Amino acid sequence: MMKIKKEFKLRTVGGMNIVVSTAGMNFQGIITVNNTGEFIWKMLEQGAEESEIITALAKECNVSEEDISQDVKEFISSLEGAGILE
Amino acid sequence: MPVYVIAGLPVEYDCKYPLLKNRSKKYLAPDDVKPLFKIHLDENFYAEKRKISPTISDEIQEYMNTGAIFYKELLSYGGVMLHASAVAVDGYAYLFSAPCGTGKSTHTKMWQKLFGKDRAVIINDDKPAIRKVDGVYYAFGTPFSGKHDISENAGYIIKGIGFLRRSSENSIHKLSPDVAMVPFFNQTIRPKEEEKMDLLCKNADDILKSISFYALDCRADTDAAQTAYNMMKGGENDEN
Repeated sequence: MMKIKKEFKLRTVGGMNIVVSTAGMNFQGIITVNNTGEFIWKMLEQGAEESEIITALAKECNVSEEDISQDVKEFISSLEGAGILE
Repeated sequence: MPVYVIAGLPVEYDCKYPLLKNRSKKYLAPDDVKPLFKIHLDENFYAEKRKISPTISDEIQEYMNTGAIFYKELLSYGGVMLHASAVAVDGYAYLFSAPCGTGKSTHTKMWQKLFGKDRAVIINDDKPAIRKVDGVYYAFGTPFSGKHDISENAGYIIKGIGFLRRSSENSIHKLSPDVAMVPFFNQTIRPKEEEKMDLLCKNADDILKSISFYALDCRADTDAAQTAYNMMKGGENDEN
């Protein structure tokens, strides 16, 4: 099961969702997350599985699961690539 | 131990070495002022720093870390440090931020060349303290001004903050808070502690919504200073 490492938090600054790190590691640059990403982030924080997130997001956006499953997978793999998941 | 008033905040710290002592002199508080907080670097601190960076003297460590701790505490008082050169003209502050080596100091020197050194005063050449006082954001000089000791013990209402880029033409345009957020975060210190990080986000959010931000593409000439001034003098610094 993927989870967001506890040192990474989502905060809203200047109307943007940004990822901040409290680990004291060398985390340069800024990762911004749109509202859909925020929805996925919050579910990941609560320990939801990919399939659960796809179902919930499809419901939230009133679209079919097939329409959004690829986007959810891509978002999660980009978080993985940035070392945010464990 | 001596008390200094920096960005309107009384802070107590001891200067063991001349560098910090000399730069702090003009910030000395009158005898009866009580500090809001204290900064103390003990022998263990220096021992640890010597292990990590043996080539950096204790004198430099004292100066750098007293500044770093001051700026971290500043977050608790509605403030934030921005890596910028701050110049005051006719009583208002204009800040220019950019990565090292872009030409922040060069740009504010152009303001002095354009307006004269009496009218254009450098508040802090490298790390001004931004702090809200009575609902308005001010830029303050601090003893922590980078390589050169160019700072003034004063605060001025901020008219605008420009992010500087070198270019062959001079041009300036306004930035919305969501766009200004990225360079703003890249030019401040990100604390490790979650509580301080939350304060940084909260203060940065308020600053981005209250102050006018700009992107300034510029050459190193007085026309660049005139271009920036013409646009930024009408900037907002809302009371909210």
